[in-house]
Amino acid sequence: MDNLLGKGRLAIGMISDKDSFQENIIDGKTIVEKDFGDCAVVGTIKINGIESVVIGNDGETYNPRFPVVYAGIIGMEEAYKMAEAVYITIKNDASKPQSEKRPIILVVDTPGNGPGKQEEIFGMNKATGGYQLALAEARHKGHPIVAIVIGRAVSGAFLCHGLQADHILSLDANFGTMIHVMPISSIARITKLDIEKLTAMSAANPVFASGAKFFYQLGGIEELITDIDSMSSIIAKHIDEIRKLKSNGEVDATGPYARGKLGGERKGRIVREKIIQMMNDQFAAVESKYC
Amino acid sequence: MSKELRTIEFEFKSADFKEFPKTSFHYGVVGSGDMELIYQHKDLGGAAKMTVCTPVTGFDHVWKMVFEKFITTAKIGNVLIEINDNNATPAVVFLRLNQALKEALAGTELINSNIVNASFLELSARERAIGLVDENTFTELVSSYDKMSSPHLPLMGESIEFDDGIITGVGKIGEKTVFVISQEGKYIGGSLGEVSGAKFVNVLRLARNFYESMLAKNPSLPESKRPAILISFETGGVRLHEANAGLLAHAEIMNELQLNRGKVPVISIIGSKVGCFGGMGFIAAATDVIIMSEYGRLGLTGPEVIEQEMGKDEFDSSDRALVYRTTGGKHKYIVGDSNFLVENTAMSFREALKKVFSLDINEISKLRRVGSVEMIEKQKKLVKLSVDLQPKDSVDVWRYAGNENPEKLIDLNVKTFLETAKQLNLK
Amino acid sequence: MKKEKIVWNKKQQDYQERMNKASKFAKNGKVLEQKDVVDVLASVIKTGDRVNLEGNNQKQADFLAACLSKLNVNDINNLHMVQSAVPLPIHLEIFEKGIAKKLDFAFAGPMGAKVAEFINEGKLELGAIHTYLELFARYFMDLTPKVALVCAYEADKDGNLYTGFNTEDTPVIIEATKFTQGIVIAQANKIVDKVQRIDIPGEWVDFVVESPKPFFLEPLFTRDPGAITDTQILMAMIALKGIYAEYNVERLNHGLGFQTAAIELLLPTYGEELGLKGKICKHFALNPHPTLIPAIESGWVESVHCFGGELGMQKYCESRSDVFFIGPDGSMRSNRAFSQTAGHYAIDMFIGSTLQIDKYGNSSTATSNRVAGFGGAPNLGCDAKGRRHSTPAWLKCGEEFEEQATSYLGNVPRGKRLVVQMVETFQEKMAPSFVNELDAWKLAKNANLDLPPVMIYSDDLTHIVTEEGLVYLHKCKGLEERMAAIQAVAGFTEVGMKEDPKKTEELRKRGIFKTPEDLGIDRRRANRSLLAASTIKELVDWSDGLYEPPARFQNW
Repeated sequence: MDNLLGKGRLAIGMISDKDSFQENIIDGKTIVEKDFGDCAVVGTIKINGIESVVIGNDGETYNPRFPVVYAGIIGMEEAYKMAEAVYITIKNDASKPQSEKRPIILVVDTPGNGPGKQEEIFGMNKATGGYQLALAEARHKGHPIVAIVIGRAVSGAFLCHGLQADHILSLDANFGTMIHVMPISSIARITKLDIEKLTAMSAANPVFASGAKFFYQLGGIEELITDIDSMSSIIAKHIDEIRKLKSNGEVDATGPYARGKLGGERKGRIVREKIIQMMNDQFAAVESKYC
Repeated sequence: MSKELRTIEFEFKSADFKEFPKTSFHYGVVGSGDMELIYQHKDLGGAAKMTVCTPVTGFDHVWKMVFEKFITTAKIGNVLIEINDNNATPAVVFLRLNQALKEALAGTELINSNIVNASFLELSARERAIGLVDENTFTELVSSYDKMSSPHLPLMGESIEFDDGIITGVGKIGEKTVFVISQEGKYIGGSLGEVSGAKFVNVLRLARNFYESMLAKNPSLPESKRPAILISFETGGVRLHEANAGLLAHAEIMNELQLNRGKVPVISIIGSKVGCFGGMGFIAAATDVIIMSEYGRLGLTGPEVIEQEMGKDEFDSSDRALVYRTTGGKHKYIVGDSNFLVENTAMSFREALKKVFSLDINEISKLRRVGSVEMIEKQKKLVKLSVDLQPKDSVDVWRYAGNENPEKLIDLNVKTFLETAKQLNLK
Repeated sequence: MKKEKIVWNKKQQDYQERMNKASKFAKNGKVLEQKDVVDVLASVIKTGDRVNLEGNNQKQADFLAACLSKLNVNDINNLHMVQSAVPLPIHLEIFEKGIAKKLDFAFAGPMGAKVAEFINEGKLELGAIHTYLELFARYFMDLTPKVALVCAYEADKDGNLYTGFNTEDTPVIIEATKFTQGIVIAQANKIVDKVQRIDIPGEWVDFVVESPKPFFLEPLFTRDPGAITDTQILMAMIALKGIYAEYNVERLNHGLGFQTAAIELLLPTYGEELGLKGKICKHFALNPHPTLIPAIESGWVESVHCFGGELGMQKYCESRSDVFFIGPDGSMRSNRAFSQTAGHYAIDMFIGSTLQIDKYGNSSTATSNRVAGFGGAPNLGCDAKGRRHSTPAWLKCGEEFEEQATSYLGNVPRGKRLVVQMVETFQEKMAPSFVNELDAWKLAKNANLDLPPVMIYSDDLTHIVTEEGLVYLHKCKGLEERMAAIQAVAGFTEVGMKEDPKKTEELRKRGIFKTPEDLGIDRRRANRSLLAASTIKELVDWSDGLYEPPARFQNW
């Protein structure tokens, strides 16, 4: 198998224990109507015996109600469906201790958000914002959230489906994975910069170039996976790691902010730390005026 | 096409000169065809020195002459002038040097009273930040004087700005400490890069830490003293030149917004030319309260991209009236995506803020549109309406909401609009 | 000696012949069906005819143009097109196909590059580039059209036309054509029972047809106040204080562009401050500029006669019948020929922008590979030598020019029109405005023109305004001094670099060169808060909602 592009369902099958995938079901209850959010897949799986909620993109279908939603695009229905799955998971595990909050696995292969007229009229930005908030809340409540990029992780779609995770993993470039805000050709066109020069620059400066390797350097990815069959064991490993890191309630030990720090350490984001420190110091100097 | 950002230096002494009186003074915005500068007192034996960071080549001699002419006519000395240029013509350069000097000498710092009643749409990010809080209370954090510009843009020949296009600071509204984030749309579309991203994220954290320390000192902290965060959006989202850093910063911001819930209310202020789009559209949607003027726009995808995707017949991006009906303040008010529609002045935004701050945190949280399963259920009804109604234009939605002459709504002034327009109410 | 019998009504006979072939298509009075138009054209047009296809500055008879383009080039070709403007691709398509061969016109706008290309490729034989009024004049001399294809808002079955708000060139075209036994065909947005107003009597029109969609109309004169820059505002302040106020300019034309839009928007604020209301800007020969609305509403303007209409301004103009030229039916009638005449003889000042000014003061908008044309500007931006009546402004300018004029006039006094060019020393992409040699020379070479196309000649130019200041060229003694004055305001361009600071200082002492400071202008004030309206929406508010901007200009 050389890649899983567009094959979200297959990927879910590969990472989960045999026959453990129950679509649209969490804790035995159907959580979503059938003809809703066709390009998103939600449900329950077991990974190495661990019961988890899974959320992924189906690149092989389309949403008949929204013409711009196909090939794994996250549209309004999709984002709300994904958000609801998260909120239901939070609710169902509300009384459990942190060590038992079930993991949420984000299987990422999406080319973007819905760029359409209906989407703008009815506020697509709320759907994606809403999904991000749900994931952030689940993460803060102790659910280990692992995102695994198996195909395309693009721009706003990756922002809502992936970048709120505790840890982000990715199949490496050999599997055709694409992580970017925009392809370098589009960046070249819009910024009017020479594409050859951009490509050359991206080698030394990962700040805009696409690809898992660059995201890794920026602290965006915790681990690159080279062996497709080891996905489930690596995910299980990270679930474990995440639980340990979050066990003392430190919300910033994982997740976006931790990745920010990681980026600094890996020298991808170079001035972030300095700015944070500067702002904190400057505020401390005037704080008494504002108390 | 190859671009590079260079810094060129000039020094010149005028025969007779006046000492530059201030320690330092900043002026301007690095918009397209424009520039910013910082005047700084420096002992140069009476001379004046100018450094220009510019992407333009072949005009060094013109810069030199403009500089010498300016120093000769202005007769100032012992001053360092640092300029960030973005293709300003000599006319603009000379104008800005003179305007800035006059401001510096006259001591007219940005005064709140000049700003609050001016057109909000016209205000720069800094003016908005100052205009939204009480007079003389604003302290800018990581300001232009700190010169924390983007370390990545020079490699791409793109102009830098000392504040990287975002103003961050703290002020007061009445008793309340208010943390302010204000985006400068004229600078690379107000987009988020590494520096602006870090500034944005840290204000959210700083506000929360401040709140928690106040709460620790006073466990029965009154609502009036609960700090708040204002975000004056003017942005297209991620800065492509620093795409990955920008995107990751967006994720950090969302994380902070979730952590601030129930603690420090976050209020979106949208009323500037570029609107609030891209990943920032998600962020605005996730805040507690959204206040818009009719000139503001909020959404995800820009009009050109929609046209590209759907074709000109479906969506003509040059039809600005259509663009405003789809993502503008009046439409968002009718469909309930925003909470307030206000007039185009900082004063009007402040009046809406006053109403918000009269509520306690629980009531403020009720103004949200996403963040719980109940809110998601409500939004799903809106999505269902899209499927059932299949509107060709927002006007169809306004009609559905009970407005009899929906086409007339767009031209009503704000006051009449608020009195007569019916908002969408989905059961 | 027996006199040979000469036939004196050949044109009449020819007209009859052509009409006989076409008359069968007029089923209902003079009304044609859309599907028959090509056949009608094939019947009434002959190879080599001179044809006017209404290509005005704003409105275009686009349906008739499309039909013309469908003619069989084997049957009809080598037409000689005589029309004001060729701004649409279809205007050049008929040359591409060989249906048309020769062109006499005044303005090409967006098709300028293609015109140059076609001239080079031999697809288009250029008669001459004119100004509008000049071309109209030749319709009554040697360029009379045989067939005129025009457009109107309404037509009835008797051929009466209502051209209304966008009357533009139609009357002058039809008069020349019909009164030389020519054929007139009109496309109308709607065929009605009774036209709102008879702008062209039916007897002068041979056929009418309802076009599939309304005739093409371009809002050329709308400028979004949101785009006006601080530099443009500074220059507007200089113009107002240094020229309008000094000469009390009551009658004028503003050339197209943001620069003059800035002046219009400064009248109710800065103009009011200077106490100029009632003293300046009373009568305009001008298209309906939306940016003039605040000044009109504030009571500055007594009359505006329009060359054409401006999309979105119709209702506003009709509601201001004290200012605009409104007919008994309540709607406006523009008329390019008369406006141009008013602009040629009856104004005291022209002020506008340009692309390039050479070291002598000749001004041109020509670029090396675009035959843009002149439009009407040269009629307005010149000192009309035929003028005889005086006004204070005209006399004052003439007095200032007296010394220079004596070499031609002896001691006989004469007035002079103010012709002002306002331009930043550098334009977009750092293109210098002041050059040693105009690109017009290159164009003349590339497109085989007799002369380099100059919009305003230096002998007509009286003032230049740049961000550096203002110069009164007509006060200069001789060419060298004029060149020195131009150098004084030409900033850091190649022309400006030749400046001799001593000479500039002398010019300054003599009041020939004034900086903004000399005029008492505070540069700090040159910002957008000085504009009476800073957005299109504010213009709508000023107009009480009567101004209806086209969708592309709305930002709310």
